[in-house]
Amino acid sequence: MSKLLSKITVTSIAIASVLGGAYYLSSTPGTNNTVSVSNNSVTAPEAAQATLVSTWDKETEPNYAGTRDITVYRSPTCGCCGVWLEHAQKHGFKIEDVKTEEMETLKQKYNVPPELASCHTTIIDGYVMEGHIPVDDIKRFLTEKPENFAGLAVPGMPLGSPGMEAGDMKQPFQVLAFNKEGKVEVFQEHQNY
Amino acid sequence: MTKINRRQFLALSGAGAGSFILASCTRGQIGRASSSSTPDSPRLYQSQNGLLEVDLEASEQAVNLGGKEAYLLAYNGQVPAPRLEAKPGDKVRLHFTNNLEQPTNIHYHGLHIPITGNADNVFLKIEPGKKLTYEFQIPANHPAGTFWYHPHLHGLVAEQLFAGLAGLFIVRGELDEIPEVKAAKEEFLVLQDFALDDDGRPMGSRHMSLMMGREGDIITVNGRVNPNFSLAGEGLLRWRILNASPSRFYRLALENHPFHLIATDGGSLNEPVEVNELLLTPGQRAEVLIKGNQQSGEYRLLNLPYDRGSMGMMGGGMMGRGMMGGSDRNAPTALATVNYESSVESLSLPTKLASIVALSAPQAEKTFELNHGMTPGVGMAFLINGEYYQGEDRIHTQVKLNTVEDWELINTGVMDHPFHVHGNAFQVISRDGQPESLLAWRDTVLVKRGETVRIRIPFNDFTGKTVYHCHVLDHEDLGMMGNLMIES
Repeated sequence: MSKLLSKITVTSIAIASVLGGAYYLSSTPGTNNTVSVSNNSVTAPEAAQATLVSTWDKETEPNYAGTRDITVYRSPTCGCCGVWLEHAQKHGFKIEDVKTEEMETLKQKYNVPPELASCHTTIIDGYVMEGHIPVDDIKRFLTEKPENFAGLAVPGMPLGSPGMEAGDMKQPFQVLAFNKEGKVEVFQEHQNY
Repeated sequence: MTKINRRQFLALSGAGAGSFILASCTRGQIGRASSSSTPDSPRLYQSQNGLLEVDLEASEQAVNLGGKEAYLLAYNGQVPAPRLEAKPGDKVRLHFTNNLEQPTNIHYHGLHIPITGNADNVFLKIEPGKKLTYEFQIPANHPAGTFWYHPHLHGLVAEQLFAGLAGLFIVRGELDEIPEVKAAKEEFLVLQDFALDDDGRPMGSRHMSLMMGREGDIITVNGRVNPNFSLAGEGLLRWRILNASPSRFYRLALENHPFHLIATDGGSLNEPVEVNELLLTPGQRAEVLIKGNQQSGEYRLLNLPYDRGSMGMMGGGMMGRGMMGGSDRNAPTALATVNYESSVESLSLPTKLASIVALSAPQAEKTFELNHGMTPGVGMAFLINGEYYQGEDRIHTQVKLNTVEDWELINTGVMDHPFHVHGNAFQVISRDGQPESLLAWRDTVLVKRGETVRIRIPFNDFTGKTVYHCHVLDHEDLGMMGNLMIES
């Protein structure tokens, strides 16, 4: 699915009328990521779901040949960061786990745009990986190494993303690439997963 | 890859929706607008001869929101809902019809009334198309104050409030009779925020930052964007402010004017307290007096930045489309404007408002740890003492009627959690071990990340089962709630 989605381009910027003509990113109808969602409500997780199987454990980038050594910075009280670490471990990554109270300073040091911030920050091969990014997206990024990008980010903490699994709640999210000047591009979309 | 430049990207957060995906996701969630409610129905219902009797209908309604047509959920076609006013001792009979496409119910936030039966019972579930008559009596010794009503069906609370369902429930009493307060020009400010898709419907839950708690880019006061309040000659304004947003905090300041705080959630303070800023978490209310003693002109009511966690990120905007709500985080925004023509002779402030007595020593103590985390078999959930809310059967906390307890609220997480207890107001004893100097009645208290707040709460008059929870309503819907049994 990820391969398919990686071909998607977002081609139009719609102008929204709200608040001084701000821009809104819009996908073009007709691409292959049409979403059909029958129930838009999100309710609390059901106790009946006894097992937690993550869709993110399956490897989609089997030919990745880059480094698997990562350093993860996280707050000692972060509940979800540890689960993302497990996700990375399942993909064979070796983790240096650094717990620090100085996350904000650290994100500034690594030029993470504040509006892209999430909880934990990962350093791999000189790149910055912010938040709950599917590890296979990191592998593809490091394989392609697109020019002038400092890293990837999944802003916030979308429910359903790796380390944020919550029953059958799966919020769509984007993996964004950013550079030091604050340029941001969509690297990957996860609509249905 | 797709290019978004910095400026466009930053602007995203302030925009309305533009995506066909969003539109298709949210369509059908609420359904067609009901034509049965009239927008001209009364905006205020007051009790007559000891009885407040109201027909109240919840339905979808086309509403003008800052010049944009929005399809919100409304009580009697109004956003915010009609204001209800009663006096201590009055009977309330509220004939409710649910014309939503979802089940719902009504919580009377802050009122000290029965928590069982057809009163402030959050376990009632009123299915679409069904009716229920709420009936209760406001105790004769009930404090005057600014209370409110809104849906409280677990799992749908944030969504239904974010669609507009909320209104004031005012209890008139002693505070209103204090001459200086009575002479002031009274205004009500209901603060709400909304995020709309291209069709003008509330953005669906899938696309909102549920972890932080959803916030919208359209902020309204009484359903209007930046309304004007005039102060013509009276000299003293009395603002009664409600934060009816599901997640957004408001840090309020009025240009060139301090606030004279006279009441909190549970009614009046002992005397006015001068403050330059007022932080209102979701669910909280405050009453302030404002002296119109500056030069004539316009003064903006500002919403100042507030970081409620976590990790210095996002304002809790929309997900999935690159929405972070980050760009306006550091800029104050004007919520309303006050103007007056000339410096009027300012009325004097009241000196004595009430006589709140500090609660005596507690008979029992309990601890509540607030955090989110991964829960085996469930995944990410919001937790109180490590448990997420699974319905009304399990009793998490038992207390005895006519006792006083100290509850220690410990936030071990990375986000702020405003803690709300239904049915009984409490006093804050200390924050991080520092004794609380302001003696006040509250029903919602902010527990900042890393903070420990001790509250003292008396359980009086009513037995039965009710709840306590985080009033960031997405956190509540995602499990941060517990059942409280008050036993005789």
